[in-house]
Order: sequence, then C-alpha cells, then structure tokens
Amino acid sequence: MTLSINCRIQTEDFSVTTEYQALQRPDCGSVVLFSGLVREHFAPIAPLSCENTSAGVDRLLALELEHYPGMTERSIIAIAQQAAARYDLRAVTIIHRIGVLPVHEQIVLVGIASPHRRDAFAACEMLMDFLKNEVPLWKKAHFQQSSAWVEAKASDKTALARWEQPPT
Amino acid sequence: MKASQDTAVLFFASLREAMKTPNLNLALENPVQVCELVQLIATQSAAYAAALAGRELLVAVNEQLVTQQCMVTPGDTVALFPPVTGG
Repeated sequence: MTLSINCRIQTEDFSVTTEYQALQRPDCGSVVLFSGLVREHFAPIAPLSCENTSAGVDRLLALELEHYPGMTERSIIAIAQQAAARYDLRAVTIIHRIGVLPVHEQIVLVGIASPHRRDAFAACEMLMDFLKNEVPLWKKAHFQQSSAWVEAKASDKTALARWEQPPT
Repeated sequence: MKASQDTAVLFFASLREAMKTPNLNLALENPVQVCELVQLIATQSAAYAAALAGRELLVAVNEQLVTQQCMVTPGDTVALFPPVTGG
C-alpha cells in the first residue's frame, strides 16, 4: 500500500481546511487531524517576585521554536514510516512551525488518512508522542519580563512506552 | 602519521546559548566515543566546561540520535542538544 508523507517545517501559518482536503482519499473512510496551539498559561521556570502579575505568574507573550534543519525533516519522515508500519495509513501530513509564535498561534499539525478511524486516531497519538521525544525542536518561552527554555516533561518520555507494546 | 579530519560539532537551543557558539570544528585523527568528544570540548576552555557540566545531553551523529557510547569517525557531523520540546 502506498503511503504519502507530507512533512513541512515552516515559519508561515497553515490552513487546517486545506490540509484536510489534501488528505482525503477515495479508499480512506477517516481523516484525523490534531493541531497544537500556543496557550496563554505557561508557568515560567523561575518564580517571579514582581507584583504586577497575577499570582506571581508572568504573562506569556510568545513561544520561539528552534530546530535542527535537515534532521528535523528526516526524523519526522522516520516516525511517520514507523507509524505506518504499525497502522494501516495512506497519507500523513506533519507541519511544524518555527520562529516566534505569539499566544493563540498554531504550532503543529498532524493529519492522518486511513481506511478506518482506530488506525487514524492511534497513529495521530503515536506521532505526537514521538514528535515530543525524538524530533529536534526546542521551545523558548518569552514572557513579559523574562525568557526561558522550556524543559522536557517526564510524562512525555513515559508516553513512548506504550508504543513499545504490540498494537491491541 | 594519519591526517586529521575536521569534525563539525553543532549545538542547539539552551546549549548553543551556553556555549556562545552554534558550532565548533574539531580536528580528529581517530574515532572516539561521543562522551570522549564531549570531554575533549570541555578541555578547550573553562567556559565550554561550565556550559557542558551537569547537563542532560542528547546526541545525533550524522542526523541520527545515538547514545554517548556511540563512536564518532573523523569527518562526521555531531550535534549536541538538550532534550527536545517540540510538538
């Protein structure tokens, strides 16, 4: 079965509608899309003493995304192929934005087309788990009064373990 | 005598900022383990040693994630970076 992989690293925004339409296939009964956004509440690593912020939490203005050009694309294609070896997938779209992304902006899109929904849902989750652990991308949080590199979460690392088991 | 070959070492994110450079070129004559290569960089300056000390590092050799025990061959491209946080 042929698998179409569309991987893009870009500064510009993307259209979920356009990507949804591009994923549709006559033999696919399901398309699952996940989009990640820059949320407002993001605790800085160092506690702040400033008084003009609510509850000592500095307001997030933007996330800045850095990547390793070349390796990023290569590792995204590798994880898409891993997901396709486990699930019946016909098309995968992964778009990750880089650069400065203000609050409410879209960061990432993972789209899956599959004949059946279970494969599409599971592959979408698997790809996000691998994206958060194996793809060379880093976030720096820019607050009103400080900046800090985002620390990797242990929960993201443990989430990988479930993909070591055979699919149920 | 073997001719030494330039081995590019790239740094990303918080490590790039701590190293105050995005890359270094090392003249390697023989294959070394990644952990030895990191030691070699740390011996070049106190600032590099401080930037590398006590930090969880991920390593890619020629754009593939590897362990600290992996061998680096002269001419390879090595990347050192903190745990990734994309998605």
